[in-house]
Amino acid sequence: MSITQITREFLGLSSDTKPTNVATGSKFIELDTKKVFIFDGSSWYLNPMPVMVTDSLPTGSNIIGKVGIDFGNNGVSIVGSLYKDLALAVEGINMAAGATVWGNYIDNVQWVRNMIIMYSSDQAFDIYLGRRNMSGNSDANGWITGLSAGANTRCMSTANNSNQTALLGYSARFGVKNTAAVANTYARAYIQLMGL
Amino acid sequence: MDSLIERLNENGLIDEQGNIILEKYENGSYQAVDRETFTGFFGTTDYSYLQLAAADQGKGYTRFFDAWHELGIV
Repeated sequence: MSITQITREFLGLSSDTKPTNVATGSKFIELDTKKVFIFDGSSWYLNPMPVMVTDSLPTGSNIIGKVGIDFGNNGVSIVGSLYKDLALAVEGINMAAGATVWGNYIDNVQWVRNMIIMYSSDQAFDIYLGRRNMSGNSDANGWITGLSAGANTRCMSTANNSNQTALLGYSARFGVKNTAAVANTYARAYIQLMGL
Repeated sequence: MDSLIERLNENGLIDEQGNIILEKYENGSYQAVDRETFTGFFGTTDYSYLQLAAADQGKGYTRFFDAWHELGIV
């Protein structure tokens, strides 16, 4: 089977050679194994989320960190829309102290439960999440706060009470907040959420 | 503060959350600050252009105050 590119996502078989001339954060889905791989800029790594509902579940409480079986999901990631990733890129923007750059809403994300978020910034920042339901009611909360400059990947679960703000409404958007007491120019701040 | 918010709202500079929109970008995204943070920085002023600008002290709001001044908001 040939590999098909859908924007930054690739479909293929486990026997296919995964491309390496792709953007960081690209996703490769093995149709025969149902496994999802993420490209980190140099190599593909297996998405640690338990997306295979037919797999045998791992045992123990520390295997998949904060996601999945620890919170009664029986190791099943509820699939909202695999192709509705949410992202925000901020480049070369001077942000006032305490200000937030908000991206645009993306719709139809109501069933994302477990997710992976990748982020990178050259300045300290908070990640904000804005939600809006089908009636137009909206809110906004600090989701992952106190982040230092650098890159990271993190699993999040809305089943964890401490992360209830991650429950998405009909529409969702990201914000990057300058947490410094002075203005800062953000040469780069990237957030990508892979809803699973 | 209320009169400032009213004038900002009249100029389309209050978002759906009630935040103060500081700068809009071409793709629809924008930079904003919540009222609590803004009041914490500038609540001791009378929200006049001169006092706002004097209270900025590196916080990066001066260029937005300049724009508001040109629009007659402050």
